[in-house]
Amino acid sequence: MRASTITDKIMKVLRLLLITAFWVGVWQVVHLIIGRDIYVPSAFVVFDSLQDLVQTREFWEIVYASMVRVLIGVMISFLLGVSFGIIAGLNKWVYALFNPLMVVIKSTPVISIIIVALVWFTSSNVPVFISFLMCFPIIWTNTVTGIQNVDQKLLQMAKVYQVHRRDVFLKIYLPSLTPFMNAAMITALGLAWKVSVAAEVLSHPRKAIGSELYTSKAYLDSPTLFAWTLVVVMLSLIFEFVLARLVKKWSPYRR
Amino acid sequence: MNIKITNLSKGFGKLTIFDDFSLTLESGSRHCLFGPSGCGKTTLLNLLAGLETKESGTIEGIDQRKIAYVFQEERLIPWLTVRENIEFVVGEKGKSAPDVAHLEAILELVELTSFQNHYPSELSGGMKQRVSLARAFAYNGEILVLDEPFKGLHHDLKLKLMDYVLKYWEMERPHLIFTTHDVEEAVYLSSDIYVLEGPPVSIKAHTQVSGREKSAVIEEILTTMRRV
Repeated sequence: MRASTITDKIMKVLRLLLITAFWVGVWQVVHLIIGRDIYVPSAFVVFDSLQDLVQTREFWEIVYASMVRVLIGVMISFLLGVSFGIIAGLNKWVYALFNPLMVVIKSTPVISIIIVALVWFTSSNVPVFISFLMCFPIIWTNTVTGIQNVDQKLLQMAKVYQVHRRDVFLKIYLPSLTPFMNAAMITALGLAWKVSVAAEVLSHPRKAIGSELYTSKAYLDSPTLFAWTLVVVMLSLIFEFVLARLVKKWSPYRR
Repeated sequence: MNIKITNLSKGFGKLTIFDDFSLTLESGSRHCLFGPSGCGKTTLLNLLAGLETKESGTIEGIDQRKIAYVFQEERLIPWLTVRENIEFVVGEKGKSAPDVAHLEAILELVELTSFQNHYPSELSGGMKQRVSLARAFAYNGEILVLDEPFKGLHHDLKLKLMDYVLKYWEMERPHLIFTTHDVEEAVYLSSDIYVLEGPPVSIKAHTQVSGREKSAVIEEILTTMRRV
């Protein structure tokens, strides 16, 4: 590895540490101004609380359970969103049929959907359903946009040369769709964490970050409440980071 | 087999491009559709290739499955290499592997063998157009259609690309139809030149190049164009 690359990396880490220190400082100042732990606990107390949490086996079981719910919800919305999105992108009638449904889902308050889902599903499945339903329109819309943006000149070329439909799909449509799907997945993952945890707060499944947030609130345990919130933020960032790396590695647009 | 266009009509909105247009293109020749930009040359090629639908009239003697088309722009797939771009159009509609020897010969003909693993973004404009030509040659269609394929290229490169086309034509003898508004290109590459005007498209003159002094043909076409 070249010396300049190592220096760049050190500078990057230092910058990140400085930015983190700045915001922790801001947090601490706000805590001192308000002066009540119940409203804004000290950053150090929250980190202590987080340290206590991560040392328990239950913490990891809870994180794992919530993560699985988010992933299942996102995966289902990805599979259905892409499939229906491709069909709707290729057929304007299907698009016209599905578009109002997507508009309704996008504009309905998530809390209304969670309450309805509480009636329909068991507590553990509510977050999965909510993640799916909230991510589905994003993935669907991006897929439709991707299909509609496929270079018509390439399609015309494939038509003249009588290229098999399968090859047209695999070598023109799919790679053209990739950037749209990547953007959709990154947005959907961030959203999925938020809505899934919100659904857990209301549905109280066993072993769930949302349930822990609710319990912390019930006992007015602000440091634990903040600690769990930090966990959600960090998990969301880790997911986004991993996905961005995968996208960079596999994107056909890397050339 | 001759290509026979009879009483062709086609328009876009209120603009009539073809109104009862007829033309016969004899097989074994290299036909040039010569005329100014916007006169309807590309529309005629698109009608032959089935990329546009005619309003009335008939086009006989053409199997649209056997047309190799070189577009004005390269139309290369950016995420496929030179070789993959060519392979994309060959091989029994995606069912069998392409003829490797034929592919290698084509790459050699257009001097792209050492660039076969490059992506289009790594090539110059002229090289991209060579890939586009190679793709058409590799398809091995009975009809080779070139729509102003040398537009915007400098003189030497143009000559080189035209030589590739002539070499390929000598080898495979496809029915060659190309459009241009450059009189030198027309005379260099074709055996028959149709001077078009329009829209609506009409044939102003038909000039045979074979066996004639090139300068005389150029002079004749320029005189016709001045009248147009």
